[in-house]
Amino acid sequence: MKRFTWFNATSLTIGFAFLYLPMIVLVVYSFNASKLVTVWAGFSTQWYVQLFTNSDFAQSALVTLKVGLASASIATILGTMAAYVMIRGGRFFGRTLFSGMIYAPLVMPEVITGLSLLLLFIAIGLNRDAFTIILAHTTFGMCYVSVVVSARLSTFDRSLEEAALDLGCSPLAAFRLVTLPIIAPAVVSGWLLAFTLSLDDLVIASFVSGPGATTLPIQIFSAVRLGVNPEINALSTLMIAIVTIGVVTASLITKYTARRPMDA
Amino acid sequence: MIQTELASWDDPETRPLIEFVNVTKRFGDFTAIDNQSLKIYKGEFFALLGPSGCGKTTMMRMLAGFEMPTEGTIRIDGLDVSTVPPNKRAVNMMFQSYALFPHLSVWDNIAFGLRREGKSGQALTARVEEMLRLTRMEKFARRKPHQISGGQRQRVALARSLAKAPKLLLLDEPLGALDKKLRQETQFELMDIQESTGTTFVIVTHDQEEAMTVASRVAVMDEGKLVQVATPDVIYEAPNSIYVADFIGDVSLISGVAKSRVPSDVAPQDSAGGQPSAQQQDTPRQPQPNAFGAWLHDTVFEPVLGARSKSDEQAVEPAQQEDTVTDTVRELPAGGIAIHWADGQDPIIATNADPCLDGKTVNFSIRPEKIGISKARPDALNAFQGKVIDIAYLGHVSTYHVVLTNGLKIMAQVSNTRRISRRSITWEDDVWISFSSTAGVALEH
Ligand SMILES: Nc1ncnc2c1ncn2[C@@H]1O[C@H](COP(=O)(O)OP(=O)(O)OP(=O)(O)O)[C@@H](O)[C@H]1O
Ligand SMILES: [Mg+2]
Repeated sequence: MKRFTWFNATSLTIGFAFLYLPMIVLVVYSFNASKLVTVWAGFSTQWYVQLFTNSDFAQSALVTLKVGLASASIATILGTMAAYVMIRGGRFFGRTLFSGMIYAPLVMPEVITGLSLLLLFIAIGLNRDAFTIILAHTTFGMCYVSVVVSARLSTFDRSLEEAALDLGCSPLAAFRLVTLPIIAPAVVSGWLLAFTLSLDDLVIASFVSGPGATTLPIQIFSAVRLGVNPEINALSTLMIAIVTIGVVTASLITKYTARRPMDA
Repeated sequence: MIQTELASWDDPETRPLIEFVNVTKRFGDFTAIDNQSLKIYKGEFFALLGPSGCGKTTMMRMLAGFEMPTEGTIRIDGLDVSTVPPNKRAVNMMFQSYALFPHLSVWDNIAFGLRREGKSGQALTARVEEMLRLTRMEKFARRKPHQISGGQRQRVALARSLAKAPKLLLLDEPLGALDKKLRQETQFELMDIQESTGTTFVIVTHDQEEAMTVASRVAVMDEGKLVQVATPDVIYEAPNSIYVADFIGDVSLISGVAKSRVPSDVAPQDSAGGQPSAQQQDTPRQPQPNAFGAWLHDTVFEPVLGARSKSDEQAVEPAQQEDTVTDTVRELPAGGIAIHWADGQDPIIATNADPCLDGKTVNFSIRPEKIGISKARPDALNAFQGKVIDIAYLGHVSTYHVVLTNGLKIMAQVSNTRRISRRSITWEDDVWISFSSTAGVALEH
C-alpha cells in the first residue's frame, strides 16, 4: 500500500473543505443565539422552535413531502418497468435509441426540462399546482430509478427467471416471486434517490409550481432574497439531515446487497 | 444391460416421447444446432455427450421451452410444442448454473415448484423432506444458497427439479461438482428414481464414464451435430467415426490403406466383437459355432444343456507353423480387410471390417485394453514389435505407451493383477503388442 503523504492529506483536506465548509457554517449558525447571521452569540435552538411555529414553512414542508412521496413512488414504478423492458425485453426495434433516451433527462439542463414541462402544461391547459410538480419530479426521478434498477438487473442471472417459469410460474408470477424480491434493494434505493432529488429541486419546481403550491426550496429561496435569517439556517440544516439520511441509506443498501452473490 | 425384448429405440412401432425433426437453431448467424433429428423414448435415460460449446445446453433449452428452434419441429408426446410456454410443459430442468433462488432458503427452493402446483401442508412438507433426504441436505434446509458449498447447491438444484416428479427431466451436468463417491451414489440414485418413477431423463455430461454408467443411450455431439446416437456399448465398441472413438475413452489410431481379404472357405470365427488375445493359449482350437449357431445355443439350449465351451472363442491363432509368416500360410479367419499401415510391416488384419473399404485409406482404432503386451513374440494374428517409452500406473491398470518401429505410438493396457514390483516389462524394453482380428474397428472418417 502507498504511504499516506502530506500531499494526499492536504488535497483531501482542501477538497472536503470546499465541499463541506459552507454546510458546516450553515449548520453551526443555525444554533446561533443571535439574530445576526455572522455574529456568534452562544448556543440556542430557538430558531428551530420558531421554525416549527411558522405556518408558511409548515405548509410548504407538507407540500414538499407530499410531492416527494408521490413522485418517488410513481417514478419507482415507471423506472423499474422501463429498466425491465430495457434489460429483459429482448431485441426490439429502436431498443438502443430508447435506452439512450431514458438517460437523456439526466444530462439535460434543468432549466430546459422545467421550461419544456411548463410549455407542455400550458399547452394542455393543466392548472399548475402540487400535481404538476409531482408530474415534473416523476419525469426526472424515473431516470434515476431506471439507472439504478437496470444496473441490478443486468447482473441478475437470467436463468433464475427461467427456473421460475420452468417450475410452473406464469411470467407475472415469476416477476413477483423471484425477480422483484431480488431487485428489491435496487428498487428501494431508486426510490430513496428519487425522493431526495425531489426534496432538493428548486429549478424545475419553480417553473411548474403555481401560487397554491410552494415547495420548501422555493420558499427558502424567496425568503433569502429578503435577507438571510437563522430560521432559514435551521430549516436548511434539517433538510441536509434528511437528504443525508436518504443518500446514506440508499448507498448502504446497494453496498450490502452487492456483496451477496446474485447467482447462487 | 441385457435387453431381452426389442429396445424401444429399435422398435418402429413405439411412439417416441420426444422427437426433434430437422431442428436447426441459429443465434444470429451462428448455427448452434444444425438440422438434427432425434427420437427419445419414454423411460429412457438419454445422455448428451460432447465437448464444451457443442450445443448440449441448447438442445435442453429447446426442450424446456426457453429457446425456439429456428427451423424444424420438436414434438413431446406427439404434440408440436412450439407454442407451449415453459411453464405449461410437463418438463423440469436442472440448470447448469443451478439457478437457485438466492432470496429463498434451501427448503423453500425445493418447495417452490410444489407450491406453484397448489401443494401445501402435510403433502408439501412430506415431499420436500423426501427430496432433502434423497440429496442429503436435511441439515442445510434452513440455509440460503449463498451459505452452502458448490456441491451442496448442485444437490439442491437436483432436488428442486426432481420434486415435481415431471414426465421429462432435463439435467444439465447435474453431478459435475460432486466428489467421485457422492457422484457415483447419486448416479445410482438417479437410476433408481428413473426406474421407480418411469421418468424420462435427458442428461448432459462431460464425463463419458458417467454417460456410460447411467445412460440407456448416448448421443455424442460435435459442433451442433449428433455424430452418433447409440447404446453405450455400441458407442464404445463400434464407434462410427474417429471423432467418437477418440472422444469416448482412450484409443490408438493407426492409419493405412485397406485391402479386401481373399475370402476363404473358413467361416469367420469371431465376427461379433471378439476379445483381445492378451492371454495366449496353447490348447488346440476347437470347432466353434458361427454367430447364429451361438445365438441359438445361448437362447434355446443353454438352459437345458448348460454353457457351451467357449474356451477358445478368442480368436487365438493356431500354433505358428513356420518362421515365414504370411497370411496365406496361416489358417486365418476369412473376410474383412488387411490394413497396410507401414512399409515392411505385416498388415493389420481386421476380419470384422467391411470389405467394401477396399482401396480406401482408413483409420484403425483400437482400445488400449484390447491390446496385449509381451516380451516374447506372441502367437497372435496381429503382432507388432515396439519399444516401451512410458508406463502410466493407474492403480488397477497400467497403460504402456509403446512406440512401433515406424514411430507410431500405441497404448496397451494391462490389469495389475500382480504387485508392481514384480512387473516384468519396464521402460525401454523391446516388446510385442498383439490383438485379435476383431479387437478394433476400421473407420473411414
Ligand atoms: N443466447 C445465445 N446467443 C448466442 N450464442 C449462443 C447462445 N446460447 C448459446 N450460444 C452458442 O451456442 C453454442 C452451443 O452452446 P451450448 O450452451 O449449447 O453449449 P454446451 O454444449 O452446453 O457447452 P458446455 O458443455 O460448455 O455447457 C456455443 O458456441 C454458444 O456460444
Ligand atoms: Mg452447457
